[in-house]
Amino acid sequence: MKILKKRISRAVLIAIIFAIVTSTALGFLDIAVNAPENEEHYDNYLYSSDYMRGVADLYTQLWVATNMYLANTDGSGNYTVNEYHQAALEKLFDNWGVIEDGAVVIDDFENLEYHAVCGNIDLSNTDKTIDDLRNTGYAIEATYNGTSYPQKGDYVSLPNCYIYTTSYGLTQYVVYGTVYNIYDFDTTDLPYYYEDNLKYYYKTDGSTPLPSSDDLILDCTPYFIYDTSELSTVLGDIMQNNIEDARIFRVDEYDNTVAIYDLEAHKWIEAREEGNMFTSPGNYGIARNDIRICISPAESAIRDYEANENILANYYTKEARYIITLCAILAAAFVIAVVYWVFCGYDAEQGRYRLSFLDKMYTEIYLAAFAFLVFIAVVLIDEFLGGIGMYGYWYSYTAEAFADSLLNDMFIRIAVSAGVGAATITGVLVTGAIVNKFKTKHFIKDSLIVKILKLLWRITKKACKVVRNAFLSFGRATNTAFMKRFLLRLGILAILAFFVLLVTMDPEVFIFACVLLAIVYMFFEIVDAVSVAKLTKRIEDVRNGDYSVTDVKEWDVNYKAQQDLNNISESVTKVVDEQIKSERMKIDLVTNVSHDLKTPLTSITSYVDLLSKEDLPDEAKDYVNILIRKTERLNAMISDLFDLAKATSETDIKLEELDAVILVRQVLADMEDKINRYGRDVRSEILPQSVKVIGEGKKLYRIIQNVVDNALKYSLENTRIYLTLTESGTEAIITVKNIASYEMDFTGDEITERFVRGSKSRTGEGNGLGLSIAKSFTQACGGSFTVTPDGDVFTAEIRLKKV
Amino acid sequence: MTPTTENAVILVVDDDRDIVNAICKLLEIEGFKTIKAYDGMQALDCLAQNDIQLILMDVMMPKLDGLSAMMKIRQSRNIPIIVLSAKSEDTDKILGLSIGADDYVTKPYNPMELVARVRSNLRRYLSLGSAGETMGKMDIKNGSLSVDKAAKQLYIDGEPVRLTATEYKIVELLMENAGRVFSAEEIYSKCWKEESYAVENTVMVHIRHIREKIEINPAEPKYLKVVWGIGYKIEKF
Repeated sequence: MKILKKRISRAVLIAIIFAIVTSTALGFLDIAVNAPENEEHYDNYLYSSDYMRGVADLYTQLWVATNMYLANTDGSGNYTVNEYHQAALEKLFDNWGVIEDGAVVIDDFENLEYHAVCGNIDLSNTDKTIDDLRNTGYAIEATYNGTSYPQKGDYVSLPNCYIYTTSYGLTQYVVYGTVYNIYDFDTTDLPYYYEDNLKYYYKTDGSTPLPSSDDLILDCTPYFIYDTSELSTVLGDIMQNNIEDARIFRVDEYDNTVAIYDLEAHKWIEAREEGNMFTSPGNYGIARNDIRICISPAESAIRDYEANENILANYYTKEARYIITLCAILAAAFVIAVVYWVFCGYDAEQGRYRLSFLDKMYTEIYLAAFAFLVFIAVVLIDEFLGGIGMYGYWYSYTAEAFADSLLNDMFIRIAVSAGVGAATITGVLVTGAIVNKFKTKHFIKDSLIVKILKLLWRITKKACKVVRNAFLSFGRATNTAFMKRFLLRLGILAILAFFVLLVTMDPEVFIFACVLLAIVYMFFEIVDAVSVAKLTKRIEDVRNGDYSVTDVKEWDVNYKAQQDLNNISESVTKVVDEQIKSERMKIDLVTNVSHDLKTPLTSITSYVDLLSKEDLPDEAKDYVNILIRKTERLNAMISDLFDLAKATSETDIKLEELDAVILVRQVLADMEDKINRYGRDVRSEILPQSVKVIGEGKKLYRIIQNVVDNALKYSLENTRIYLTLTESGTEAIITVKNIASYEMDFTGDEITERFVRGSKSRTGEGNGLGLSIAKSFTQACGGSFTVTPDGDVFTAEIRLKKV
Repeated sequence: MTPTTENAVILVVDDDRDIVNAICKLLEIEGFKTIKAYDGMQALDCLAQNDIQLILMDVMMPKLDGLSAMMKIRQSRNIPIIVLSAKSEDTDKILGLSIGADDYVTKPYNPMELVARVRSNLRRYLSLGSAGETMGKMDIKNGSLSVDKAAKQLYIDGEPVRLTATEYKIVELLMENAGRVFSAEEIYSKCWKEESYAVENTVMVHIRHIREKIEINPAEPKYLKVVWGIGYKIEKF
């Protein structure tokens, strides 16, 4: 929480700074907006296209008037050239409308002043001398064959207007607005191209603009440019004699007249009219070197222009200041932001950087927010600043409208400040979060794209695994003899069928062959099926205890499996044999021990008996009786022990089918005397009519007898013994319950251990083997025997398997 | 002097001298004459040199064991042989009896039972000739047991046994079908001629009584046996 407070307060602080800064910046906007009124300002004549056109038009007219008319007349309207040339010139003049009734008529150009001098004739529309015009600094002039003639490639520069000149005429190029062209080239070594059977030259060094567009060509009429080799196709053989090679001509075509002008000599050399060839004229005119043309804007236009320039210069200075200040502010803001980025997210308490809850969203959200803010900023900057610069005037209407309202409306001013502040806070928080993610190494971790990629990667991996496993299991399956054979046969079958089809190309034969192959295939499959059946039978046999070894042919599909079974059978037989052997030895041991015990016991019994027949004092007779009793007990115990040992080794069992109901009744009847002797009441509850069980009669008899015996021996006097026989599912259950005459402090498992008796004193009758024998015998018969002491109630439960 | 049951000469064979002495003493008290032998070879010698009416033979003995000796004796003599062995397994008993023993007593023996068996075997062996005429009219014979159906009388080694009417009926039924197992219901319905219901106890009581009368050791009956879980039978000899 603390860190969050710190962060937010810091962000707000920075935002306030930004808001102040923005306001200041907006103040600078005021300066910018207070720049001169644009439309008014650029209304100046020197900026206009009229001026450009005017200059071009006027120049052309003056050029024609001087160079073509005045140069070829005597000053009083009489041509000094031959009649052909005169006719050609008159046609041209007609076309241009410069000469009317033998007088030069120049159009009235209001804001342009000029002098065009040819010899002693000076065409002018101003009182100023030609030198006055030149001194304005805005004049353009041309002197033919004179020194001040602008050289080819030179240009006279006026604001926004560049005029190129050549030694052969004027090439004018207006930078903005439509381009007007008069082309006149020295075509030596110039590259060229053809269009409409005409050859056009161009230059690649940039000194002369290229005639590249259609408009340009149209506008540049009436001049077409030929070289001498082309001339012959235009003029015919006649011209060949008069024209030297490699001279450049300008060929002007007007209606039916073709005028040929020697561009180097500056004189017309030929003109012809539709079919009629002008023969070589005596005089096409002479090259004059006393022609000067000078054009200058009017004085008022120049004044206006220069005043404007001053205002603009002032404005540019302000603008530069504004931009510098803005940059400084931005730099300062960036420094503050960097400071913020360095410290954000640091948790002083934990001494490390960590993410606040604002930083915990997906990385992409912050990046998107950041990108959006940057976009907005760029758009705004473009909108506000885009217009400043190149042409030196503010053309953004958004900025203008905005600036207006900004200046006039306090509310807008506050709203804008608040907006910029909010944007700033967002920006600071967003950039802070991004930076913080880098610091805590969460940038990649929190990325939604990375997470999605990871998920995709996991899915891909899983899918790959599934596919791989599928392939593997298929591979394993095909690796078995069965699968191998199946695939092999199928393959052979397919190849044979295909072969038959290929050879015969007869569908009927093909089908017949297929059926035949299928039958053959079936035969092999049946052989395999038989083998599998044999294997299944064999497995069943093994399960049932038949461990005989089977001989199988090696070509059998289950050869390996059968061999494995053989091995298993052999090892099982071996183990079983060994087990039987060891059991046998155990039995032998028990038998021998039993014999060795019984032999001395026999002597004892015999002599005690003989002793009892002697005439002995009463006391001695008592002793003998004790001996007899104990001997009997010893005998019983040895016998029990022997039985137990045998039962545990689980051999010598003859399982047969018998009726548990009869059995229980028989045992009870058999034990009647004993029961009566103990004076206990045995309540028997035998529910079923008949329960067939599996077991050995004698053993089952011993089990029940022992259990009942146990109950008689250890039950409380005057209590009843309950014997029940029930059946459940696959078992017959015989339960004997009695109330113990002593406290039972043993568990059911303990009491069925050998030699364990309920009462620990070991003085009473019984040898502690009864329940052990019962348990062992029950287990030998495949049943289960459990004893549950519950309070004073002793329960023995015998579960026997039903048939 | 023709040997009788009372003055018969008995050969006692056992490698344990104490046991031999004890048995001889026991038999002498009962009035028999005894000859002692301590292995199979001695037994054969004694048998050849003396007039002997019964042999008590141990199985596990040095030199020649009891069973081998018995096989040798049986090649020429049908003198009663009682095997006296510490081996109490059924298989041992069956083996002994099938080789030629007339009776099988397990060690440690009950002296009274032993004497009774000796007597029983002697009686059967010695009275064979004199009892010939009485035996002739017997309807059913099985080992020591024989039944005179006309007189409704059971004999053991020619000695009549007193049975109640029902007991006799049971004995006759089982004797007639010696070896066959009868369930309590069957016995009841055949001997009582009544509908049987939960008769196990009744039949068992009678069986026990009969056993006490005909068996030397009722706890280990030789003839009348309980087939547990199935019924009752008289063993066929």
